[in-house]
Amino acid sequence: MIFTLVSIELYKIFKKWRTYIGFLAFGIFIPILIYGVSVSGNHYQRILQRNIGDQFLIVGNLVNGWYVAFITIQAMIIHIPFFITLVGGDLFAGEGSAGTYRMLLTRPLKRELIVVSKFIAGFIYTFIFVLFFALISTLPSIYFLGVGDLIVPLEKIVVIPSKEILTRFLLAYFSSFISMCVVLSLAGLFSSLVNNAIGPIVGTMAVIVIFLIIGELPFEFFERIAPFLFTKYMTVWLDAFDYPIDWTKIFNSLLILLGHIVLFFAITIFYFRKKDILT
Amino acid sequence: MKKTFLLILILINVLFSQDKNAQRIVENIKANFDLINDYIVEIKGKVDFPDAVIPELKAKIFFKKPDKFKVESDNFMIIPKQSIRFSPEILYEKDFSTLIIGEVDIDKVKHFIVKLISNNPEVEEVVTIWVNSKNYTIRKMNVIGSRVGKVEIDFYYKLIDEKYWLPEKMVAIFEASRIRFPRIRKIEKEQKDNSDLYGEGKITIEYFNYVVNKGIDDKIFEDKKKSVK
Amino acid sequence: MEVVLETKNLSKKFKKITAVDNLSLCVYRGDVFGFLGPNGAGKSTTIRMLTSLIYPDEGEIFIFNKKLSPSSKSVLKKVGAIVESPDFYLYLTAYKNLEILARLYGFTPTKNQIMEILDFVGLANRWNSKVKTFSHGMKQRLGIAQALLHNPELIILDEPTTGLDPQGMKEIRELVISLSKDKGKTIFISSHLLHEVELIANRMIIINKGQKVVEGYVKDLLDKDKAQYVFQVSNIDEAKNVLVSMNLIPGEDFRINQNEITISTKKVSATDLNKTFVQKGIDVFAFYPRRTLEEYFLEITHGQK
Repeated sequence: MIFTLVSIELYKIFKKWRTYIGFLAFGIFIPILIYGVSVSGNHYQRILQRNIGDQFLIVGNLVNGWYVAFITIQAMIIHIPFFITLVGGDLFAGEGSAGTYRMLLTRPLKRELIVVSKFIAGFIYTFIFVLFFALISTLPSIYFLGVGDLIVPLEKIVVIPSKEILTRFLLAYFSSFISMCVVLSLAGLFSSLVNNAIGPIVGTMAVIVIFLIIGELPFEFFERIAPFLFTKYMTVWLDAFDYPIDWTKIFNSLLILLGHIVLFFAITIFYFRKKDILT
Repeated sequence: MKKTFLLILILINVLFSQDKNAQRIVENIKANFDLINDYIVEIKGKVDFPDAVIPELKAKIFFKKPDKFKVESDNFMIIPKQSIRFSPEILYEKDFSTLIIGEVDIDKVKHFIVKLISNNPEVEEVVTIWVNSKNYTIRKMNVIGSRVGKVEIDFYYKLIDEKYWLPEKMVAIFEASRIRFPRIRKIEKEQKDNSDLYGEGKITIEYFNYVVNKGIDDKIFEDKKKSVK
Repeated sequence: MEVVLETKNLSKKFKKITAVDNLSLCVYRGDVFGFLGPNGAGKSTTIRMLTSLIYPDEGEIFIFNKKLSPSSKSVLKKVGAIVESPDFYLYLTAYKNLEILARLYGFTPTKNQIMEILDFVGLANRWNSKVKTFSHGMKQRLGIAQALLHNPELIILDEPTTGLDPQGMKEIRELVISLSKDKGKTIFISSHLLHEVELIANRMIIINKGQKVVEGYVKDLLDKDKAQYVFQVSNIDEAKNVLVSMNLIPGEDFRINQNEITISTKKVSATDLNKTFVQKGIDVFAFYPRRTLEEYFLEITHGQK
């Protein structure tokens, strides 16, 4: 039955226009971003040349497809939650506002099963979206700019050998997927509480933005709070580009994120199990 | 008066002869390297930089007289310019002054310490080299300038094909603060301790499998792929 | 008689408001069971409890002798329902809506089955239209289709004629009668329109303020009041005396309301009574049979206010 429910939920998700907003936005914008970075991409190499070119030779293709893909991820990843909440916020509330709860919940199905199927469908959507993001952020740039070592010019300059890059990207995208599942779960939870999708969408984004701001504030009080905010662990994808990989840190972050997914899911089940459907 | 004139003459002679000696050393270094028409060598490079993690990387250097070279690598790498001709750039300029400033024994071999100063006012780097008195290879090099800070390079040689003294290892030490890698905007809140940046950076290059004077097709240097020329 | 649906002391509160209060009812196989009450009486709350959209604070629901609870809803397989106005996934076609909603019963309908049911409710020609293009009446008929597709034994219809024009109401009534007579379904139908229930139901319950007012066979309830007539007369006191002299008991056999007398007995026929009033010099301005059930309903529910 769960397979049927999930397939129905997926069918509903992918029959809605809003589901494609993210695909459309990224499908249009990311190629433009890639093109922009590509045509001015040697900018980084030029600066590096200017900075150290007197004494050093720079060997290898620094601004390659992987580099552009990395720049794309770090520029766009912050926007993915919005597209996830568009769908996550509608999972339950959409049924409420459309009145279809009255159809769905009068069936001989335990509500827990409905929650599970909606979450699974949401996770599948999230997976497909992250996969789409992964493909669109890497394939065109690799096709046009080729491969090579990846320079990660963040707090620390890390150069990742080309043979390791694919693994790193896969790890990064997997970590992003888990992070986005937290976003979806939170949106799903909020969605189960109300009967209009606007609230969960805005609410989820508000929580993420507020948590991100709190996590960034350089005051002791907020610094003490920061480790308890799930948003702190959503940058786990960046750890995939550390050298060497700090597996313990990644594992802990993923565990905390998974914990949040379970928590949000459990609260949804607890609440939704006996929710009075009055719409 | 006679004595004074004699003293001046001696001093001029000393200075002139010293300059002549320094010139001779430089000529010997060049002559030594002139034996090399071309070479191909595999290198293994390691960059130790306090603010960067750059794994050990491999490359291949192609060199052909007078100044054609190509570094072929799938990997990203930064290598000192001196890694190609194992000598400072200034040595191949026309207008520079030389001055022997001393001698020192390194590994029980006498080395001349020679200062090379460009006569071009725009070049402000001062280069000092330690030249092996037996085979006229540059054992050590020191570059000081306001842009580059201080760079110290050590070469360790081995006799290739029983004829050519070529380095098997090069160690360059530089001021970390002079190597400014551009950054993209900060993502993580975590602030890094930048104090390490005031330390030293080190690039070690090991040379393997020299192929010397076997001829290299010029086309090799035209292929820009994966290379820096 | 087999009990198909039974509630025992069902109660539901929303904060401090008691929507359903200690409600017990019983529906037998083959019944068309009218569930009556004015707006706000607690009908929809009860139906939502019967279909597990909300759960009672107290009391129990048994469907086909199985208790309905959050952890035990399998008995709903035998139930088809429309709760209030049927809403669908507007972005899907009628066909796809039916297919999805049937699969939620664990039943995958064939195309023929779906087309057959769409034909039954008169929507076969619109099978491939998105529901967002449907009128209210079409959605209502599609609602009935989704309630029937899995061939349930008990059909719960919550005010199925609301918002429909007279023709639409007639069609739904005919559909219900057909379901009962031709297909042998048990039907639980709520309405605030008495004449509707009068036309189609065999048994009924009237609730008000969440409480049961009366429950029984429509025929019995109608029989009880069958001989009800209203007389409008010139002298109400004289008329009362006449009735008392004929051994009719005030309050039981007749009731007086301003200048009207409502007769509720078979002891005397309306024609005879008319003659007697005229003979006694009492002018009869009008006399007519009462819309029995409707009056009865209003009387009861208003009486409770």
